[in-house]
Amino acid sequence: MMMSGEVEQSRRNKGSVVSLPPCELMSLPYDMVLNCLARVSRSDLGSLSLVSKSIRSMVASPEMYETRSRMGFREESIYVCLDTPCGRNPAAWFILRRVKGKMNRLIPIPSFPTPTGATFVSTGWGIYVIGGMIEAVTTSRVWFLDCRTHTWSELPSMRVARYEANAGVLDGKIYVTGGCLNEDPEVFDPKTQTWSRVVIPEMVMNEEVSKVAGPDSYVYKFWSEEGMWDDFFLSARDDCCAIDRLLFSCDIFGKIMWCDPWSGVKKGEMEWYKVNGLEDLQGYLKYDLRNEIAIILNREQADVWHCYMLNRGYRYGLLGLNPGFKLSKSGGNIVVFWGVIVPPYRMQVWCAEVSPERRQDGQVWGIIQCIDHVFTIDPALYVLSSINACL
Amino acid sequence: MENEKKMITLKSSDDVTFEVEEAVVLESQFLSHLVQDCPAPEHKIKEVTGKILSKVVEYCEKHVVVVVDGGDSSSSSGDDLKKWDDKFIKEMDLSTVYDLIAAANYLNIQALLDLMCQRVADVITACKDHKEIRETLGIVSDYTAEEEAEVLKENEWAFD
Repeated sequence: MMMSGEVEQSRRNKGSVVSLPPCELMSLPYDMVLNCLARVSRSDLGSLSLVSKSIRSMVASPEMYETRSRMGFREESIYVCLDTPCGRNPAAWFILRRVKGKMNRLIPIPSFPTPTGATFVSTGWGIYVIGGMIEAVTTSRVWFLDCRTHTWSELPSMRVARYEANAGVLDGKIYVTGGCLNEDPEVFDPKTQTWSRVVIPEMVMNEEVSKVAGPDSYVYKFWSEEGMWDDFFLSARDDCCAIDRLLFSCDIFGKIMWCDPWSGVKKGEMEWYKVNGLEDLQGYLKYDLRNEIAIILNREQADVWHCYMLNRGYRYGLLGLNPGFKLSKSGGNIVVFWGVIVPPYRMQVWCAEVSPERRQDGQVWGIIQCIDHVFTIDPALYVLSSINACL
Repeated sequence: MENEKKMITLKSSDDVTFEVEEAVVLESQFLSHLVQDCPAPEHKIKEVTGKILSKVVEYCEKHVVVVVDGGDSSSSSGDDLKKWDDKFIKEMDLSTVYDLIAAANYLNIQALLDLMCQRVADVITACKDHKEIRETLGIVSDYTAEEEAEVLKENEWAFD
């Protein structure tokens, strides 16, 4: 290894392009090296970490994350978790690889036995997997995917077990609410790695915290610790993403809808409008019952599972678990995922990217940037969740 | 009536001297303070060689904020400056880039530091894989073959 390195070096020295002693870059002050490396795109950081051990530890360091943050070089990555409704198979995890001029693709990362009905939220350099159900028992356990290294670890458990909870991030802390009966929300502080109870009294709600509720999503306006009004989007398990102060969702007819949570609320309900120009997408996103039946009939004992799910509080049983589509956002675009069953036993995962545009007449139009087939998988894994991480 | 431009002499570690207008010196935070605190006509910069200081001076002279009189700007426009920057870095080997990073950091010239660090990042980005990065940056791997295979596997998502 050393030999070949030295030979390489002497060969290069004879060449005319550059002549430098090994690691001249690395002999610069640490902050300067960080300043250079932090500008490299995230996928190239992957190649960089293969260069040497010291560069690898630098790439995975909190300082790298902070430098990228400070200099505005953080990039959004979309992670996708594909799971079975009842955790019969370990969930598969992916990262959406987006290369300019090429098709988007899902690339597998280390899988993890993700509980059914867990809540996903991302902050800092990782994704939190909160609660859910393990072998039919609701859990308070919490896991963390370090997106710098794609390694999994367990965090302190919540105070109570939660299933299909809502979670959001405010001031770097993770607020979790719902998913259990009659329990207060709780908050996790990544700095101290502790959970504590949160009480939001109704009185405060009227003055400093306003809450807008949709069918399954909540937007809070908080007076944050930094003394600023902060929009706090408690992402529900339902398909919703917030871009430029607008919320986007998709209805069962495959129409992408938008809502202005700050002004579009009438009588306590959010008013949703159609995003124009997405007729081509609608056919794909339509809640296709035939697809769902195909999945269920392919699985043995579907009825048993169906009843099981109904008993566990799913309004639509197994059907309610079939998302069909998932919305995420990336660089101001809506990224929507959906599955297509390919007989006999395969499922294709597709993804489309849409740029929303609010025009002067107040209407919102969507421009389809791409529609790509990103992965093919065993249809047993069909509960799709997409999570954004920014690092 | 135009004031006579104040000239300042900078002397490198190897005693190469550069006579520049005060406005050029003000591009550097470090030199601004130095000139203000110590109004001597000549300033020795021990940490920077003549070769690198000449580049720094060249950059600052180009980027100096020209005070425009009469509205017709004689200063370089944004596009021209960018073209000039591109040419400036293209002609430079990496060794000089590193030296300029150190110098820009020491003299506190943020725009030059950004330009040089971005150059290193662009050189890395232009490499097709980690082997080419090693070769370009002159880094000898300290991974064993097994360790490298393991990291490669972990980072599989990043590669085509």
